[in-house]
Amino acid sequence: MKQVIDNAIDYTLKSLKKSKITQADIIVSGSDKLSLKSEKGELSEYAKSKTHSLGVRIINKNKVGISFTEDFSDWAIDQTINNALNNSKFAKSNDYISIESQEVFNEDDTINSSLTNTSELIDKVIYMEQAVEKKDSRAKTPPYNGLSEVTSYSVLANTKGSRCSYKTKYYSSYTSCLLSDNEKNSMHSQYDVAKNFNELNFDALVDEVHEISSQFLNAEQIKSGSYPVKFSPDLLNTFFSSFSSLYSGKSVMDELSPWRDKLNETVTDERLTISDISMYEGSLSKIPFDMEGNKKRDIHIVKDGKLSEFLHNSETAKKLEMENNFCASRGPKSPLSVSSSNTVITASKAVENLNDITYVEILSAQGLHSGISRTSGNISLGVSGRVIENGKVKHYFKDSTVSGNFFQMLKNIHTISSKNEASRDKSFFCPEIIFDELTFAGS
Amino acid sequence: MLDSLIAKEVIDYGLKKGADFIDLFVDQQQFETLSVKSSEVDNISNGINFGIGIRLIYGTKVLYGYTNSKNKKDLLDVVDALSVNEKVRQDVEQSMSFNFEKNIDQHLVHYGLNNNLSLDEKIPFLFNVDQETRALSEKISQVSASISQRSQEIEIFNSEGLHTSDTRNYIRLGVNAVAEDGNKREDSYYSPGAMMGFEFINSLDPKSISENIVKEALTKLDAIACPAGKMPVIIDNGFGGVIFHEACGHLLETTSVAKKASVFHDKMGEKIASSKVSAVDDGTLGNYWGSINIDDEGMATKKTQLIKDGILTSFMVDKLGSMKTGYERTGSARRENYRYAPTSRMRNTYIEAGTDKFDDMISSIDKGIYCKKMGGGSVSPGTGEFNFVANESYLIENGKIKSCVKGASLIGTGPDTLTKISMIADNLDFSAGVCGSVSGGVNTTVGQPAIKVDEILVGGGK
Repeated sequence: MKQVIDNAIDYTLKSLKKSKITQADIIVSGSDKLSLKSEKGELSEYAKSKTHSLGVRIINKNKVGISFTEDFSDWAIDQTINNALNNSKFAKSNDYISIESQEVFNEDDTINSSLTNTSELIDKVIYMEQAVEKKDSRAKTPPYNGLSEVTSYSVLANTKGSRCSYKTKYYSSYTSCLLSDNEKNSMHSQYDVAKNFNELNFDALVDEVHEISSQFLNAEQIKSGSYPVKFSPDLLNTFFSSFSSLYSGKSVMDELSPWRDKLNETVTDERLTISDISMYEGSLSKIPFDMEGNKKRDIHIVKDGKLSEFLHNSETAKKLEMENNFCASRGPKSPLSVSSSNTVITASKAVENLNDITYVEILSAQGLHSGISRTSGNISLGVSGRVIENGKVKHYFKDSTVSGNFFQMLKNIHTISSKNEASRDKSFFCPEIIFDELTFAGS
Repeated sequence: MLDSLIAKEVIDYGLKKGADFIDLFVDQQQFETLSVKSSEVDNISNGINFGIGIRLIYGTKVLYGYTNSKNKKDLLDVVDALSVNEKVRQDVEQSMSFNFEKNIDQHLVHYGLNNNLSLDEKIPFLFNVDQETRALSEKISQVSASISQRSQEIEIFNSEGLHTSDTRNYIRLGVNAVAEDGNKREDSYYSPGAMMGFEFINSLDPKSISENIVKEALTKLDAIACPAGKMPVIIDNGFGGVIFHEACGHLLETTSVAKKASVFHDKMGEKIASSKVSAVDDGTLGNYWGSINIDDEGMATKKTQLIKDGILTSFMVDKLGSMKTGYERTGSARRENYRYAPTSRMRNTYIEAGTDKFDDMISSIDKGIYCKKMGGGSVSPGTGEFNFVANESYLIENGKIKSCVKGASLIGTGPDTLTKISMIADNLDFSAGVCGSVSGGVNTTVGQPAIKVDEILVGGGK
C-alpha cells in the first residue's frame, strides 16, 4: 500500500509541476479495516476492506481550488488536478493563503501495536455476545455486538517539498445488553478502544452494559427540578467537540464564534485551564504534524478561566494577525480548517473527592447530534443516569430530559475534584466537574 | 463499469469458496459542493468515489469486503480474504449467466452532474440567497449557503444471474442564517433536496427562503424558556415526520426485526397505533429525495404500507431480512456506498393525511406545545425510546398559539406515542434528510400532516 501511495503522490507532484502549478498540497488517506459482528453465537458479518483517497488543493493566483479522487490512475489524478484548477477560477481572491512548510515527518505508530490473528478476533466477538446472554435470563441477543481492527494512514505532501506521513493501528469493541422483563425493556451499549488487542477488557465491557441496563430496567424518571450535574467524560468530550467553534480561529474568521472578541477575557470558571496537547501521554492518537505540514505544539486555549489563544492554521493566523499555532486540519475531500488534537482540562482548587455533595451523574444521553445548538449554546437532551449522595448511588433514573446552556455551564461550576478521567477514545482528559444546577424534566 | 466476464469469474470463485449467494455492487459517485459564506465563495470542491463491494452469504452469515480497484486479481483477493475461514465447496457450482436488465428511469433529470451546467450558472443562486437574507434584518450576522450535487452510477451482479444498473442524481440546498442581538444568538436552517438536477434549485425562490429563515431566527431571539413536563403536543407537518421515522420506522426494518431487537418484531397484524394512523414507506414517489428506481440489491422498489388504520401491515425487508424472517422483500435494501453491505432502510416514509383541521387541533388544547419545526433526534431500537429537539416551538394557551419557546425537547417511546395520536390534519408535507444507520447515511424523506399527541414528556428550561 505504501508503494501505491508514494507512486500516486510522486505522479501528482510531477503533474502539478508539468502544469506549472507552484503552490499546491496533496493529502492521501486510507485504511485497512476488518470488522466483525456476531449474532446468536455465530459470526454474522465479516467485513474486510482497503480504501484510499487523494485530495489536491491548488492555489492559483491567490484562489483556492480543491478536488479529490479514489481512483489512483494517472488519468484520474490528471483529471483531479484539472478540476481543482477549474474550481479555483471561481473562488474568492484570498491574500492569506500560501503553501509554506518544507518539513518532513515519518511517524509509524503501529510499531508497538500487538499482532493478533483473525480467529482470536472472531472468538472474542462471539464471547462477548454469549457473555452478555449468560449474565441474565432476561437478556436478549445483544442488538449491537462487534469488534474491529483498523490500520489507518495519512500522508501530506506539497510543492515546497514537505512530506509528512502518519500510520496508526487500533482495535475497538462494542456490545449492548437488551433486557426484557414483562412489558419493561432496557438497553445500554458501550464501546472500548485500544492500541493493542490485549488492552481491550471484554469482561469489563460486558459487566458494564449489563449492570447499567439492569439498573435502568426498573428505574423511573427523575423528579423534575434543578440539580448539580456531572457528565461522563464521553459526553463532556462530545460537548467540547460540538462547541469547538468557540476557540476555532476559522470560526472567528467566519464571525461565527461567540468568543471571537473575548481574547484575554474571562470566559470560563477561573479554576479551569483548557489545553490542546497533540502528544499527550495516554492519548490514542499522537500525530506530530498538522495538515499544512507544520510541527504541532502545546496550546493553552483557556488559562485560569481566561481565553488565551484560538486554534489557528496559516490562513486564520494571517487574516486575524495572530500567531500560527499549527492546528491546520484537512482531509482529501475537505477544505482547510482547524481542529484540536487531544483536549486536556486541568483545574486549580480541586477538592479531593465529591463525597460531600449530592449531584446527578448522567451516564447516557440521546439526541446529541440535534439537542445541541452550536450557535446559542443551548442543550436539551434525553438522559439516563443516577443520583449520587455522599459518594453513594441513591437511585438510577431514565426517560428524563436535561436542559441548559453550555456557555453558561462553563462559567457556573459547582465543584471540581482532583480525580482525573478520560474519554473512551482517549482524546479528552478532564477532572471530575460538577456543573451548577441544570433543569431536569421527568416525573 | 465492470466487465461482466470479470464479474462472473469473481462470483464463480466465491461459489467455489462455499458461499450460497454472492453479489457485487459497483459504485461510482461524482460529487460537487459549492458554498458561499460571508458573502464570498467559501468552497468549491468536486471529486469521484469509486469502489466495488462484494458480499458473500453463507446461510444467514454475511461476509463483506470492498476495494477501490476493478482489477480481477484485486477482486479475487477480496473473496480470498473474506472466505479464509470458510470450507471450500466440493460440489462446485457456477453462477447463472447474466441477464442484463436496464431499468426504466422513473425520475426525469435535466441537469445532473453528467449533463452539468457551468459554475457560472450555479453560483449566482447562492449569492441571491445571501443578499436577500442579509437585506431583511441588521441582526443577521452571518449567512452561509451551499449546493451539493451527487450523481451515483451503480451496477449490480449476483450469483442468481442478475445484472442491472441505475443512475441516481441528487441535489440539496443548505441555507443557514445566524441572528445576533447583544449576547443572544440564534440560527435557522433550511435544506430542501430532491432526486433531480440543478433544475430543482431553479424551481426555488430565494426571497421566500430568506424570509422564512430570517423570521425563524429573529423569533427565536426572543424565545422564553420552555416549560417542562407532560402535556399535549402538536407536531407540525413536513419534518415533524422525523419522529415517526426514528421512533417507529427504524423499528419496522428487518435489520432490527430479525434480531428481535425491535419492540414490534412479533406484532404483525396487531394494532400498534391509534386507529387514526396509517403510514407508508414509498420508494417510487417521482423525484423525491428518498426515491430510487431499484434498491441496492437490484430489486425494483415499491410502495410499502407499513400501518393501516393502526394495524401493522408490513415491515421493510431486504434479502437477508427476508431469509431470516420469511417476509417478502420490499425493495428496501439500501446503503450509502460500496463501503457498506445493504440492509433494510427507509425511503420516503410518512404518515398519511387525516381529515382534521390544523386550527381545530390548536383550539383543542388548553395548555401545551406547538412544535413548528423539529430538529433531529435519536432512538433506541430495542426499547423504542426517543428524544427529539424542536428547533422552533410555541406555547399553546387556551386554544391559541402564544410565545416562542426555546430548549423544547420531546421524549417518549415510539409504541406509546403511536397510541396517543388523537388528531391528524389534512396538510401532508415532506422534508428531506439523511438517515444514518448500519449501512451508512442514505437519503430519506420524512413526512406527515400535523398531528396531535395527547401527552408527551417535554423537556425545557423551566
